[in-house]
Formats: sequence, C-alpha cells, structure tokens
Amino acid sequence: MNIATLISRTTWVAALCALTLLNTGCAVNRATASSDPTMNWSSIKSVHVAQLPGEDGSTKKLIAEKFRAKGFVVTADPEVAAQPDALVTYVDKWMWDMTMYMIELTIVVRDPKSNFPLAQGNSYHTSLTRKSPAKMVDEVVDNILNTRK
Amino acid sequence: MARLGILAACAVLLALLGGCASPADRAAMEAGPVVRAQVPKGDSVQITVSGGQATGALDPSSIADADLKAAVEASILKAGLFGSVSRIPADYTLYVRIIELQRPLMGGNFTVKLELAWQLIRVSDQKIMFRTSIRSSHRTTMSESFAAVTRLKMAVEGAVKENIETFLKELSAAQLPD
Repeated sequence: MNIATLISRTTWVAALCALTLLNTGCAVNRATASSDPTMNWSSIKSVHVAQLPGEDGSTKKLIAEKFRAKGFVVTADPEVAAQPDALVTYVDKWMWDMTMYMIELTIVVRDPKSNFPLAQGNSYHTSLTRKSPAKMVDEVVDNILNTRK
Repeated sequence: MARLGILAACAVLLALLGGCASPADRAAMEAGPVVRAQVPKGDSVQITVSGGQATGALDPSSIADADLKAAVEASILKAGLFGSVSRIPADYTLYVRIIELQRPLMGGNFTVKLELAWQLIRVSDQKIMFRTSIRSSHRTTMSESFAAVTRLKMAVEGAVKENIETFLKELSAAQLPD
C-alpha cells in the first residue's frame, strides 16, 4: 500500500467518524415509570386507548390487549369511549438496523377530562438489545402498573 | 502510517463517546427574569421531582431529578412566587414529573419535545391547589453548535427552560382555591 492510498483511507475514516459525531446521538437502554402521588388506582377500572396520529394501529392494539389482560375494561379508537376512567396515549419511535425495530415507547395514562398525566412509563432499547413491539408494550405497561400503591 | 490512521480514528471515536455523557445543566434550565409574580402564592414550598434520569457514560443528554429540582427552585425564587423553597415543613408541595422527553437520534437541527406535569398541593389538607400539564419544545441548529452532543444538550435545556417559564406564568395568573 502506498502512502497516498493510506492517507486517503485515513481521511475517509476520520471523515466518517466526524460525520457520526456531528449527526448522531448515543446508545442507551432504560425502562422507567412514575405515577401521580395523589392517583387513586382503585378508581380506574376502564381505559380508552387513543390512537397516535399516523400510526397504523398495531401498537395501539398491543396496548389495548395488554391492559385487557391486566383486568381493565378496554376500548380503543375508533370505538367510542363510553366515559372511561382513564385515557391512554402513547408515542412509539422506530429505527432501522438491518430491520425496522421499536427503539422507544412511551405510554401515558391520563385523566380523560383534563388530559392531565396520571402515570407514565418509558422504555428505550437500542439495536443490540432490541425487543419486539409486544415485549416493549409488556415492559412499559407492567412498569406503570407496578407504581400502584 | 497505518497505526497513525487507526489512532486518529480512535481519538475521534473517543471524542464521540466522551461527549455522550453531557447532562443538561441546571443553570441553563432556569427561567429568565421576565416572569415576576405580582403577589406571592404562599410562604414556602417544597419541590419533589420524578421521572428524570441521570446521564450515563453512553447516554444522550438527559434531565436528572436533582438538576430539574434546582432549576425549578431557583426560578420560583427569582419569580417571587413563594417566600422560600425547600424549607420543611412547607405550606405547599410542588410535584414535577417528567412525562415525555422526545430527543432526535440524529440530524442537523435538533428539536426536543418535553411534557412536564406540575401539581401544587397544600400540605395541611393535601388539597390539589393547581395542576397543569405543559408541553414545550426547543430547536437548536448547527450554527449554534457544531457538535451534536452540545446541540442536543442545548435543545433539552431550552425545552426545560420554556416549560418552567410557562408554568410560572400560569401559576402566577391562577386564582388558587381557598
């Protein structure tokens, strides 16, 4: 290998690293949840899952199924919510690394009248420790319900 | 020469990883001096923050509970909303919960979206005096900082600052129940 080729390759490696430095965040795994200190979980028997605008409904369906499995009476968009005790909203973020995967999911349990957040959970898993959407939903909802006193 | 190239690449990679551990700065999250209450809402308030996370060695910029608490305390004192903060026993407890912090993974301009839930409770009877959920966002461009880590940190700090300012304005204008 001659010197010109070596310098050229070194420049490319440095340029790629610099591009990464300038345009990307970092890797992290976490799972957190918290709830309102005045929240009365025993009064929440029914929830309505509102669909995230632009989402195809698959995450909404998983969340509805999870809450149903946990014993709640569940409705979900586009069903009409019949005065639920809580409204459930969510935000899912997807990334591509060989295949698409859900990198982050936030689920918020809200007061249906005021939209005030009563409890929330968030999970964030990058590519190497990725989880399926169903596992992500399981983890977030379980962590939210674990905040019950 | 090849070793030199690898060393250079490693140095840049280390700079990248080292820069990841850059938590939001508490002073940069404090509300500006524009907010000033006409009448204090009470003598004393203690502040409880939850839902935050310390920034780990490889984490993107996060908000630690202690840093947000310090920024809220300083902002409340500057605004004159309460006579003192963190004195126990206090007349009120202010609960601040980080509900959602949306940070971009990559890009040129970074926009961070934040939702904080604020709840003021009177200690004597545990009555909810005021509560609101505030969404804020802040965008930083490459002209503000060339390094992604700094741009992200600045966007997080800006979103928190805007959220605190909105809360102080809302609470300042609110008529608290008896």
